[in-house]
Amino acid sequence: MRVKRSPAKRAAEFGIMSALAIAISYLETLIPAFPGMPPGAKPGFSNIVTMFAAESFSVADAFMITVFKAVFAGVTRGATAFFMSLAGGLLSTFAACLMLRLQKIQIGYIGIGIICAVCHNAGQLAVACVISGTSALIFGYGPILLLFALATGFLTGSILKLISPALKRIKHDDR
Amino acid sequence: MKEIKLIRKTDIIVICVILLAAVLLFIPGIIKRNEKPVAQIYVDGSLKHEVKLDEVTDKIEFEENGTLIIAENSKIRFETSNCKDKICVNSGWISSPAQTAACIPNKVVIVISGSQNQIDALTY
Repeated sequence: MRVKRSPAKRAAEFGIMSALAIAISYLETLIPAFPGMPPGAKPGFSNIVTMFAAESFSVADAFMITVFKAVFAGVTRGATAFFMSLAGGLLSTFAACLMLRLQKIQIGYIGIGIICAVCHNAGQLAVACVISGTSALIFGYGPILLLFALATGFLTGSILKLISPALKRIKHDDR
Repeated sequence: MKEIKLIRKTDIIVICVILLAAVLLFIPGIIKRNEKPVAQIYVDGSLKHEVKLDEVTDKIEFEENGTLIIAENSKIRFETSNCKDKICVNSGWISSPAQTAACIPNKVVIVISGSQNQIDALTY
């Protein structure tokens, strides 16, 4: 079922995916805050890359991309950003892998996108509570982050469905 | 691997469950909406200041962990901060119960609570 990849091809694919995830997550930091959007919340388009990696490459690749992304966030935006990116990323990648691997769960791209977004936000919120030591944040940000994750997850899941056929050509162009 | 569809029945259930959870979490805030807003400023995880916002007319300033918090005209905000991302400053003015502004790198959080909660906070 899974075609065995040469180490060089794997490295190249991994490099492309990591670069893509990092570039997207950097571009998102440039989006200015606008009313109605929870402060600091981002659409999470880089989740598209990790979800794709989890689906088409391997679980290990998806997790490595997540870690790379967190390291990049740490280098450019500091330790808080590193831990928040790591916690959110690992939780959402874990959720994506779980849903994609468990064939019994009849779930579509939109559901996967939403669950990943919710997990991402939950991980980040948990780390925010731990770092600041203030659990009151859960009620302050929780509901708005849930609604926001619903919207962004819907969007990322739909985008993944759209671009997945094109991205999969990278995988199959072995000739 | 099987072809994954865009949307299935499970997805609708997921959407409904999350909507329900969000609505349930919003309820405490809606109940407190008519109470008098009290801004609680947490520094390093412990409650350090409480400001009855409806009694604030003149500017009050708090300097905590590299942030400058200003309360004025029944509103409160992070005016400046030495953190990198400035999410706290970008949160802008907050004034009604259940609103939150936070500077995670500096460990400063402002939560607006209803006046009844003040008793909880003090006895706690």
